[in-house]
Amino acid sequence: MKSKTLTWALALFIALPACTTLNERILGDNNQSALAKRSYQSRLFATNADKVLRNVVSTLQDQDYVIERADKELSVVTASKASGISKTKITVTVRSKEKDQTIVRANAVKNFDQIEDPKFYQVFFNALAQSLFLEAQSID
Amino acid sequence: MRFLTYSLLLLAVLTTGTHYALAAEQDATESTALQQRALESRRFDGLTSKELMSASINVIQDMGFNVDEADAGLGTITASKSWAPDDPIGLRDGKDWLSIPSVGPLSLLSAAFETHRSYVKNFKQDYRASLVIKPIASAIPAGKAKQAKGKKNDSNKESDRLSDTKNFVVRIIFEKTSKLDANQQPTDTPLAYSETVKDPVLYQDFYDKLSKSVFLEAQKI
Repeated sequence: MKSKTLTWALALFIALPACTTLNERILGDNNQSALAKRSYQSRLFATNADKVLRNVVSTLQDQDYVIERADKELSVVTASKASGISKTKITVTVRSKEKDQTIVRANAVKNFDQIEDPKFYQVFFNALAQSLFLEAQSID
Repeated sequence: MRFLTYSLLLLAVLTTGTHYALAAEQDATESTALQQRALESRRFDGLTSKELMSASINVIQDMGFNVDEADAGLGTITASKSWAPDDPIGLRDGKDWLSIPSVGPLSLLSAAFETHRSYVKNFKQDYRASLVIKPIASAIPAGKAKQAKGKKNDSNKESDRLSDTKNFVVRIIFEKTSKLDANQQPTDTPLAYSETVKDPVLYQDFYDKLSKSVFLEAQKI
């Protein structure tokens, strides 16, 4: 008798955590706070926002992304890259903190999951920094 | 009897994840358009339109959405993301579960499981968020701020341009589309079911996040 209730209790224990509620799926899981997420998804560059935005677009193209949407006034760029069955979609926003201080924030999604690995963003920001450096060095 | 218990237990484990979640979602709250609008809107004061848009885009990025369209002049943002159910056996990665050795013998019960297999394998939900900011010309006194929250107050006139004011009503709508593809390939006529999400808790949670984001924006973080 006791083992029967235990079995049913066990069934519930196993089954219940398997479901994520709709709200969790839409709002995103809370395993990382917004601040923690923004810290590895953002970088500060000592250049003006226009230049940074141009270089964001060219960096994304260098990394084989296809630009889907770009808005100059809000400085938002969305791009995607498909390889076989996996598709990576990235949104980059550029905000000016002060005159020559720009914050760049990128967030990427691969297939159905958010990319929460800081290394992915590190690679992108390194490429962006290099592009900005090269532009700063070129003779206009 | 014991066999029945254990087989029901197995069935519960395999099917509960998706079905429970879907059943819960189908309890739609009945509400009129006005009530719905009140649910979906909140008032924000003290930021320029660009700052509020920037805070909104940041919150949307925190939630894992990708921005599809954004227009500063109109104050609109559209974003989207997709979801497919987690499954312990790896159906989401396209593996055929009946070919996994330990599960092979269960193919005797394949009729019931065949339906389940195709259901979980090809099920997908797309979420779209559509956010609009609307300017309000006059600031209302602090005492009356609470009752005017989310409602259209006649004493507030809309200004013509977003840049004229620092008082806005933000309204967001979440739309959910559930898709069942017959095959793994996109089809011309997938079985799709779309609806606006009407859960007040969802919108409350979203605006909590937006308030935090607005605070961070004001601090220029």
